[in-house]
Amino acid sequence: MTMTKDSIYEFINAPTQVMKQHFVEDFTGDSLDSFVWGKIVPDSGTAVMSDLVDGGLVITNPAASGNAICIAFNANATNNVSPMAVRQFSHSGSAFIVVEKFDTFSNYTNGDGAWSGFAADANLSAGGANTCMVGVKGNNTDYRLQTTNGSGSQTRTASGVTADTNWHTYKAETTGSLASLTIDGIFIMTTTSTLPAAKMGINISAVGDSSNVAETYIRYIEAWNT
Amino acid sequence: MTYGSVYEITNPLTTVAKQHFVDWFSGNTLDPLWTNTNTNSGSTAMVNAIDGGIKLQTGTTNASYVQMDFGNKRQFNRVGCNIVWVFKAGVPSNATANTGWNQLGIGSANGNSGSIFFVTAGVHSGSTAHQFALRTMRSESFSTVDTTMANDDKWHTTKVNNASDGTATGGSATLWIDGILRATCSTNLQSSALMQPIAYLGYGNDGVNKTLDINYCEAWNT
Repeated sequence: MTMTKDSIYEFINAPTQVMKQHFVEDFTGDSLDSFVWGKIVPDSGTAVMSDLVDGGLVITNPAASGNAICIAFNANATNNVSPMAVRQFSHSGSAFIVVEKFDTFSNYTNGDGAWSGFAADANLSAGGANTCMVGVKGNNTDYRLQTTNGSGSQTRTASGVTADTNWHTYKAETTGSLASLTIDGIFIMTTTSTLPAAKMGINISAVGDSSNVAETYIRYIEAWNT
Repeated sequence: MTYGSVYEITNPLTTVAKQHFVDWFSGNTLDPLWTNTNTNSGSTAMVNAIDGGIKLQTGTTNASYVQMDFGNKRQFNRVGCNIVWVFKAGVPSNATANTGWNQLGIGSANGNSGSIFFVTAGVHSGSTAHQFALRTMRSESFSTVDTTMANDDKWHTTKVNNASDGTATGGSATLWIDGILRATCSTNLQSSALMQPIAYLGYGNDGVNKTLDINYCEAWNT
């Protein structure tokens, strides 16, 4: 039997609870919603809606140096924005779910790779202070949970889950005392290293290897304060 | 009971969600994710009224039409997808054939392929005038299944499911209106593998503007 309620609100919050900031993006339609998202594409590469079943947004890094791409809140800029203008998610209690398909990990750079999630900066290499993100990079064979503290110290904690080229659902949460990662509904791990210390926005970035094309697909991201 | 996230309302975290789309048709203007075409005095605008949503309206010249789609970014799957629209069809009954119609559904191209809810003012390509119908389209060949439900110019919810294999008769399209199964069709099914939401409002030469009000659209792959 289908359950109905008066509102979407009541599916995710008790009526007695005042909902905190919540955001949902389906990445469909004829173009990226420019009222919400900005792009930083300083060199070559593209970030466009794909014309594929279940394709979502496709970020393409060509086989060339200087091919980093960033999608972030209102980051219509030619280079990194530090910090991004809109940061509504709490370092001490927030979570995100992203449905994403990374390319072969070695098609990304060893240093930067491809990352999605919370960040204070709109940053081409998932850099800057205060992040909690999931991703891959060129010299690691497994997915990683990245956390960066307020002084910019960064940890990329191994998940032990082999990085492949299939679609997966990633959920990350930061509580102020730990950050956790769940992949396809299976709880993977926590970390207490270099946790974010200030409010964050959403940043999606990819840096391709200079000799390989990297394609990253993303069709859903949801973020909320807990 | 509450869910941990919007995601988990429609999927457990152990399931990788497929493409999903929701538009509430509220706010200042139509979201630019839609490709919107207005010809010969046709218009598309948010309505300043309770539950108003958005209104599509034709002009009163014969070539006037209004359409919305995803600009041929087709992320929905012919093999299994659904689309829900909440709408009000302003196509008054007319004894003359081809005097304007609404279509709301999902397909490869607006007007000639896909599975749609259809209502016409006068008879159009085999459709009974002024009745809600399911129409399947395959390269300008149509099949139409009437529901015997007359257009009352009131708000309704339509849901269309497409589940087909690319051949004209391999699978089916299904139409629900206000939650009740109204029609199925297994001929002239779309050939292309890819689909996008489509809304179309066409004018017929009877001097009456045709309108289509929409305040919700949701599409998803199954």
